[in-house]
Amino acid sequence: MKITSLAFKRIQGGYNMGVFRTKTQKKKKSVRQILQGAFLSEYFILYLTIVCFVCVIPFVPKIITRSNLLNVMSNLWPLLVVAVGQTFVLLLGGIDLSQVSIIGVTSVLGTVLMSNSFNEDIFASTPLWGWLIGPEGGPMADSAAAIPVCILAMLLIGTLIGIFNGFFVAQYKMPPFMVTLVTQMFYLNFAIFLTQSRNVMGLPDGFKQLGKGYIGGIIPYAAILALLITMIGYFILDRLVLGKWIYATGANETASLVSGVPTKKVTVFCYAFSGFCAAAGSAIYSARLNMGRPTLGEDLTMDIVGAAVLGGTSLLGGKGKVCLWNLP
Amino acid sequence: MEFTIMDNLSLVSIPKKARTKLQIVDHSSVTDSTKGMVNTLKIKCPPIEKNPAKSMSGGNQQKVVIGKWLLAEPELLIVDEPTRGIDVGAKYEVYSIINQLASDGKGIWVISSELEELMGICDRIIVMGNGEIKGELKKDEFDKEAIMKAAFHQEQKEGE
Repeated sequence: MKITSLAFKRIQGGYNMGVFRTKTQKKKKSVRQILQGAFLSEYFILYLTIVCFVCVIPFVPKIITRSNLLNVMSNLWPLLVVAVGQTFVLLLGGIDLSQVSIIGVTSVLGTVLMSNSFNEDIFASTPLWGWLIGPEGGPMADSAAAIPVCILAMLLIGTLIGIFNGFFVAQYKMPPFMVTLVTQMFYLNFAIFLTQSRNVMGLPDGFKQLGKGYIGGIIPYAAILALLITMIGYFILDRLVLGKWIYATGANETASLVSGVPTKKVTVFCYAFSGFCAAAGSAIYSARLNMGRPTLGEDLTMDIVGAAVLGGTSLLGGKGKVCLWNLP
Repeated sequence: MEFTIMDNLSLVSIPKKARTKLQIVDHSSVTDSTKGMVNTLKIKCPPIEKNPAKSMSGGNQQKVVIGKWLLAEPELLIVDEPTRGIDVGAKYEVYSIINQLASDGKGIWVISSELEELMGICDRIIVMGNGEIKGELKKDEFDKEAIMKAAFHQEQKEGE
């Protein structure tokens, strides 16, 4: 007993010393330590980007003009939305490759529903002709509620595809890479099949505004949507019990299961949210292009996963976060 | 193991402490309850908010697991080999936690293969062998030989 209690004391002493040491370190920070801190920080990539941006300014002054900044940012808003969804799946230790084809499918289906006119020569050969679309447009054509209803439909379709992915991953323990690769190929080709590889045009003006409009001439609608979804993601991960469960499931699924975490439901939720975000991103992408395109997100896989991983999310799961205002 | 001690301690009980239908985590109550649990179980650990569970010794990790379930306020606690692989001091602590709980009127179900341990903490021992219940002993009948006999009785008969 004596020996063990002594050992405990030693351990305690060790910890106390550790705490003490870090405290003194904080008091006198040398330049080297600051640099070290910056290099080891989670936000190192962010710092590097800012430094790079500032360094380039004297050589290419155009880079800080308003139009360039707005252009760069508007390219990034939809990517941000999709990457937030990807982060959730990566936190579980999975990966969602099907996001790119969810973008394509929802883009096609959403725009088909709200389009005002179809060129008969081009669209007569598509499987949708006759029962869903005709020369005078889709079922929601010229309706006042077209835009919100169609966007809701897009989000619903995206979520359903996500639930499908999540169900197979959670229930049958299939590797997420395979499940989502298969759904990616299937839905990508399904989207192409639906319109026979044609782009859907003739969208209502209001939809175009979503992609290109500004509030007060500065803040784009897309930015508000993107920030809203990012905030939802942050809120779920940081404030809700669900967020704790997602981290726990990602770090150690068995331990979480025996601790009463409904891991299957959590998994399905993450994939569903990923699909939801992909659909939301698709709405912004389609609005920016002002058309529905089956291959809209085809080359985005690397961008999406890359964005999430560069943002500090671990591919092994359990590490990473969505943050907005808690930057140092 | 990579998670902080606080996250580990609060994982089971966190839904109970959550507010409203949306299940927002009540950070202050989680902090209070986990710190209280660390004090009552005398877990020797570095500050629980920042340090991962793997920074502790095995015995203290075991106590964290017990504390995790105690925070969920169970009526019956099932512990399977509660003292396997931990040192003597921590063993003693675990026993006193179990005794404390029992005197609070909670049911404890200890599964163990260490006879001394069972004889020390149990009120009633049910002996199992070959997947069947082989015997039941009250506190005043506890005897190493009797327990072993009950466990191996069947095989002996077959052997004869």
